[in-house]
Amino acid sequence: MFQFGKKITGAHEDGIWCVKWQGDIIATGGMGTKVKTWHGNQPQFLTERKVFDKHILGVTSLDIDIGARYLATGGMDGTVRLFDLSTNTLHKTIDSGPLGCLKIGFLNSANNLVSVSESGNISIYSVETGEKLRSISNTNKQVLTMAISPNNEQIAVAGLDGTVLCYDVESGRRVSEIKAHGVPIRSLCFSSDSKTIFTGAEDSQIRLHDPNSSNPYIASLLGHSSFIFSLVASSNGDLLASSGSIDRKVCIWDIKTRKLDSSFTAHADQTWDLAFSPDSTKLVSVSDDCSIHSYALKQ
Amino acid sequence: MDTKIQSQFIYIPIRGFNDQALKIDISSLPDSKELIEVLKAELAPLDLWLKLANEYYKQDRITDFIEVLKQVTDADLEQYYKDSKLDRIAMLNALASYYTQLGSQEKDKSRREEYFSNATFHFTKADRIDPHQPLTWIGKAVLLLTKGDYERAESNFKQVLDLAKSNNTLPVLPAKLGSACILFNQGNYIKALDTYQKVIQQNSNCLPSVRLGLGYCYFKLGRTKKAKEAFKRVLELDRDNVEAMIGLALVLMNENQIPEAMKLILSAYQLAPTNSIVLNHLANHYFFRGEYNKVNTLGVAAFNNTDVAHIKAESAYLIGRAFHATQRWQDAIQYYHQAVQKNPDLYLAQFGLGQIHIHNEDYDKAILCFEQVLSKQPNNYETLQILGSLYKHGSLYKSNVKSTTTTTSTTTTTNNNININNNNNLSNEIINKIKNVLKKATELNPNDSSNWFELGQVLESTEVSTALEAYEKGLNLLKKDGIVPSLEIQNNIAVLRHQKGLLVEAEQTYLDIIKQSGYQLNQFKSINITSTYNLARLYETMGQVNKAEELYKGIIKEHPNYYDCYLRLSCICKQQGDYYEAGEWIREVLDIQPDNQEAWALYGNLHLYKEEWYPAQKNFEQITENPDNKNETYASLSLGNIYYNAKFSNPDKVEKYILNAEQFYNRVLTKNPTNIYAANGIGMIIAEKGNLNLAGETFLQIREASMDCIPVSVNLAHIYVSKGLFDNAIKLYEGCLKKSTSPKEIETIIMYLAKVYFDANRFYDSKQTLKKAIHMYPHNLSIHFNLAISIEMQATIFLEKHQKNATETFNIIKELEFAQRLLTPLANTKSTPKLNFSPSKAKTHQTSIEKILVSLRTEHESIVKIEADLSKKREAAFEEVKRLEEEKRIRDLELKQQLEEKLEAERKLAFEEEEKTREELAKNNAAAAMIDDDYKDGEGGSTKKRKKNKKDQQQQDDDFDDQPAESKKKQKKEKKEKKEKKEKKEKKKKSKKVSGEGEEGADDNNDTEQQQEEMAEDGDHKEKKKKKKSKKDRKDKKDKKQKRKEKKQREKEEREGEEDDENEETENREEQDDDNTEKVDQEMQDAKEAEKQKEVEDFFGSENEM
Repeated sequence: MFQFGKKITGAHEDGIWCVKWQGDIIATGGMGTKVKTWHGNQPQFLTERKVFDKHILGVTSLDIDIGARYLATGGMDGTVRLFDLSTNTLHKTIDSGPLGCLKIGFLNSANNLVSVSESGNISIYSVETGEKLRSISNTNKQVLTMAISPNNEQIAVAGLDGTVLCYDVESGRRVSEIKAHGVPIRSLCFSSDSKTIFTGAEDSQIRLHDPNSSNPYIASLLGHSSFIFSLVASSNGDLLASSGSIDRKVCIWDIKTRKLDSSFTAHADQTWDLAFSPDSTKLVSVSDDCSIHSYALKQ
Repeated sequence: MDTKIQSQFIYIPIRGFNDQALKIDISSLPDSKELIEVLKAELAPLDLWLKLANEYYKQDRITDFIEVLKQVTDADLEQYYKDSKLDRIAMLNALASYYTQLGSQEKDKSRREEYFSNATFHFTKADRIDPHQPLTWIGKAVLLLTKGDYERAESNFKQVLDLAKSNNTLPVLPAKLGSACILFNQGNYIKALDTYQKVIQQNSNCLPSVRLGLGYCYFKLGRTKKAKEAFKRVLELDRDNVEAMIGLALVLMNENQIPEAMKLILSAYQLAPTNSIVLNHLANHYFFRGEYNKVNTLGVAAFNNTDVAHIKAESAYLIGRAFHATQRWQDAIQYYHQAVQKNPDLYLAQFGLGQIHIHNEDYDKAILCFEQVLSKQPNNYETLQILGSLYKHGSLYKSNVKSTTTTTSTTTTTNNNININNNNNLSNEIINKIKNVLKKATELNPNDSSNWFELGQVLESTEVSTALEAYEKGLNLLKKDGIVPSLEIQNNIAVLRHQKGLLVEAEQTYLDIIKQSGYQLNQFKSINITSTYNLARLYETMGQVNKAEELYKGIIKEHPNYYDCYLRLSCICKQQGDYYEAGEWIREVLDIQPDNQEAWALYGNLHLYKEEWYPAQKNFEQITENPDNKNETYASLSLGNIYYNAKFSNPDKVEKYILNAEQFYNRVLTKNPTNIYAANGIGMIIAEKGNLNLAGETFLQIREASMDCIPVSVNLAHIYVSKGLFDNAIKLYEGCLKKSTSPKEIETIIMYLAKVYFDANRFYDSKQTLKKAIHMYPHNLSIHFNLAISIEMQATIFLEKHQKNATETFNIIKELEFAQRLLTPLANTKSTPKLNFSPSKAKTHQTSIEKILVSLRTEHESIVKIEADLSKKREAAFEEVKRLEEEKRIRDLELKQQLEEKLEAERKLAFEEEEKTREELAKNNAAAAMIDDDYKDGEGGSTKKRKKNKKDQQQQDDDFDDQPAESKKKQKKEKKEKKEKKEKKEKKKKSKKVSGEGEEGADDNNDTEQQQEEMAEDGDHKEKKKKKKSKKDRKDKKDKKQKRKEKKQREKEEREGEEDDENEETENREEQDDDNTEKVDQEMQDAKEAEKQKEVEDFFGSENEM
């Protein structure tokens, strides 16, 4: 069971759309121009570290690499910025075109960055040089979300048609196609062992799929009453967290028993993103109500 | 002769002849007329009259009996027998009691009342003779008892009993019996029993009716053995007692000794053929023997021979039951109704009535009847079960079920819901009734599985979890009994699990059902069709669309007419975006069954989805033109919507289309006045005609009826936008966004919200809203277009701003560049009717944005320069400030120097003063030395010594005289000086007030005054010197010294005063340094002059000595 923890109201001036937790660093961004980093450990938990004021039209996606050296932010205007967290300076600027970096993520094994555009283009950039290395041809032209498997072997994209497509990172070949939902898929993530895909859709359902099976469907989790905006799996493999749009819910599920572990309705507006702590004992959620909420595992 | 009464004869004494009497044979009494004549002629005692009357009564010669007793009211006899009060009262009471008895047995109401009136008349006459006779009270009490007025009867009996406590001669037993009778009727059987027992103890030879009462009490108390004994005893004493026969028969019936009981009842019937109780019992007996005609005859006889309501009710019930058994429903209803009217507590009649209403399929009335039964017997299990079934047949429930079915079908096909608020409320009420009834049934008998299944079925539509629990309880009961539940029940359980989200469990149940049938899933046998279809629906929900498709296609292969499978396949294709395939599946249905309404509705909906208005119209018209259609409401609504939206594509026919739309909406409202969607449509029509106020009111009313209907709120918001009430519209749109869970609805409303911000010239808010929209719906090109325009408008306003910041200008430029890039692909898009924006407009906006960008970039450069110049100017200004500060410092330094100079000057003055004091000290020392010289001169001569002594004495005297004078003078002087100082101060103050010149004048005056004072002092000194010279030289010398000292002191004092004045002046006049310096100079001059005078005086002193 989780319990409600610290709450930061007015963390941003506008709605917060994305959050990431890596090591001692939590990064948040949203509709405003500012990207902020926060302390992830006590005694300075959720106190501001640094503010980057670069994105004019807001940030739709962000990620921190596994070594917590770089912070990547994807702006609505298509600009990807790489910040060096050791020096808190701007490292690289990448132009991916308007709505060109709807979702971004680090390929830690190759020190690369993946971005997926609104029209479904998958691009891979070098973190060091900022140069575009290659593209993966994607047949889905209406993408809403993207996920990279923890083993960095696959990239999964999903969108309006309710289908999940998985591509092999090295070869760029499509390795599986899952008709997961009959409605648009809003959120997507891999389990920590990279063997299970979790999808959240506009039908308020969370579904579990085995991408390597001819019958991928595993189970459904019912507990939300509106879109599933975010899905995130804990690194220890035990928990899955989900957040809703209009229902403003944050749910934490036990993956093995597929039962609801905890549920919170503390946010005043749509809850856009979630992030687990590296040790899987804490969770943070961000919302259009400009606040950051944290939840901690009960002792 | 003796007047003894023999067993056979009564002797009437002959008047005038004491020894003679008229002998009357009781066995052959003459006519009452003859006897009365004899009694009158002989003036016989009244007790003989009463005895003879009783003999007539015993011989059933009632007319003669009455005639004899009636004579007591004759005026002549009253006069003659005036003194025989008790006898007269006895005769009157006997007559009254007789009439009471007649009245109690009379059926005719008017006769009955007549008898009771006669009884009252005679009792009243008795009271007039003597109102305190207990027998009269008892008689009246019995009359009241017969009338049913128990309270007054009881009070009369109590009066007798109370009197009996102090008077043992009073007739107590009748009163006690009366009380016992009242207690019995009041239901207090224990007390009644006690009273009867006491009466029997006191008079073991009492009438059999006392034991009858005893038997009744025992019977009511359930002591059947005692009751039986009592009734038998009564029959021993009075073999023709009908009441005892019936009582005994009842006891025997309860002991299941029917033949003996029936013998008794038949005997009772022979003795009293019009006794309704006897008749009712006979009727009941023949009912169970199936002789219904006898039941009717006997029941009717009983009904007609009693006025007691509950006995009549019993008779009516028996008759109704007989008709019921012979299926004469109408007659049965009539008699059941009478039974219920006579005795509302006779629930058996209510039960029978309810059963007949069920037979007549008049379920609402049946429900009322059984509810009545339940109100009397809340735990009547059978009734609970019946009601549980009945409620589902009630008219209200049926109508609601139909509505629900309609809603369900439309939900299945169109995802639109028709809210029927009133019917929903009624449905809830009835469902609650069913719930309560079945819940109670399950509580009374939790081991009856059918009750649980019934309860589960009722709860299916409202409480899925509770329904599932009920079904599972029933299922467990069947398992305990080793009974396999029916497939229908298992299917229902599976459906509920599906609805509850227990998808895996539901799947397992369906598979179990199919397995139990003995066939495989893939064989698609008829017995398993429902379960297989439901399983396919489940797989759809689970997201396993492939499995669902397999099952649907398998069912179709084996059962080509199972239409639902085609329709489901069509829905699956539609969801996957394969509209052509979806249409193909629908056409398959229409090939088989051209009138399938759901297929046409689904087909029309598919065309609507693709915005193909004309084909959709044709499809829905297929429904509305079919007279047997069930989906007309949805089709009419759809057609109304099609015509309404058609006005956008055919502007020339707007009026026609609006009229058609209005007709369709009205058609729906005519059949169902509470259809919100039709009312919403009418509101739209009104708005289209320009009557915004009426449209707004319409939407407000609908919104009050259904708060959560988002389309209505959106329409109301549109009205507000049209009226320019932007804030109201914004609130409504935002409220809708928080409630809606439909993705398309949210997408549409968020666009509306951005638009209203735009119309309100709140371009920043519009931009922010569109940023959220694009974040949620990045594929909606209209949002791209609108966001670009919002940015452009914001920039346009920014251009007109006078004072601009370089940073914000830069940000605006960046946003415009983003807008430019958003519009590029839009401008290159081919124009199609489906686009909500115009590519040509996109190009136009690109051009205008480019112009703004050029202007802003130029302005940004100039702003940057201006800001750079400003920074330089600021630096220059800063330097100037520094210079000014330095100059100030310099001035401050100069001022300080000046101040220091002044301070030094003052220090010099102080130094000079110190020097003066030193000089004065030196002079004093010199004076001291001179005094020593005087002492040496005295030591030189003896004669001189004598002279000196004398002189000394004289000197002492002189000194003594002089001292007080000097002291006085000093005091005076001091006073004067003080006054002078005060005056000076006052003058200074006044001068200050007047003016500067005045002050200067004042100063001059002060100086002159000082000089005058000094001169005056000099004059005084001179006078003193002259006087002293005339006396002695030596004295003069001493005096001079003293005077000098005094002078010095005075001068010091004056100086101190002056210093004080200076201090005051300095304190008061800081800015008048010049004046101070001048005064200082004057004072110095004065000091010098004073010194000169002293020198002169010293010089003169030396001459005098020589």
